[in-house]
Amino acid sequence: MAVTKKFTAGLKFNTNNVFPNAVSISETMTVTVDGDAATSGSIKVTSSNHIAVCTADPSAGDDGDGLDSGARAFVFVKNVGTNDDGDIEIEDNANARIAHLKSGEWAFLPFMHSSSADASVKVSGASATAGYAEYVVIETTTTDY
Amino acid sequence: MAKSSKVTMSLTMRSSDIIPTGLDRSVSMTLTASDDTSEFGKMVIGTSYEQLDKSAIADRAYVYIKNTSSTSTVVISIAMDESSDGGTSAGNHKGPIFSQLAVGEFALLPYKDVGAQASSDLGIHVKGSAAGEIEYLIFELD
Repeated sequence: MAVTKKFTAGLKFNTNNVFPNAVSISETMTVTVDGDAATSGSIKVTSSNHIAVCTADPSAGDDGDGLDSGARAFVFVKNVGTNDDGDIEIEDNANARIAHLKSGEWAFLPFMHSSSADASVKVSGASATAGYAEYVVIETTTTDY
Repeated sequence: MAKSSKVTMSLTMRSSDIIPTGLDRSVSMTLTASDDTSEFGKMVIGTSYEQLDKSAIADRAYVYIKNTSSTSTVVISIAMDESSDGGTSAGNHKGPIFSQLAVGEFALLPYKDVGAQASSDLGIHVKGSAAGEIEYLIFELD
């Protein structure tokens, strides 16, 4: 019998003075995981590095060729460096910037394979100054919606 | 006196079986939002791209999107302007879909304007596999 794996993520927002009335959001989702890749770790990067943290095959290491065709992965990246370290950027397979993280900031996004190109989620430094990132990648599906 | 606009966000990730060592990670951060742009609400969407951000974002912004569609099969796709297209007409220069959300799923994206668009527009675009709805929140940082 196949083993059903689960991943739960919860997100909370509280705002003060951003909107006319305070906004409070609390969301939780539980996702069934049938992908074949899950990895976590930390890396040191500069703008000369474009390290793929999302691979089709964990045994391929962190420079693998991206997600399985049609796959999706939840990707968490946090800049764990200090203010004196470099900023972190998240990029797609073509090294196009998706997100920019300063010290202490983090992102959480469901990244999907693009049918037109291999899909790697890459982490890079924003400058020549070394930056430090923690990441968690969970491939949730091996087929597209 | 300038107001102090703070946003506190926290995320927990848990699983007992997808990583050999287990996954139990919680993070939080408090950021100062600029006074420039903030949006919060719901948007009814169709199967054609619609631009999520209605106001120009000059530099960095956090974007929260949740698929709140009432029909369980609606999938929301997210794309953004290409970084290298040099486009000047926001909404017409979409890159490939980089993210999809099933009903109930959410994303938190810290976006940095790439500066390639003369309009300095953030350029995040959403569409559904059928008519659906999203909840979203945008606040500019810098």
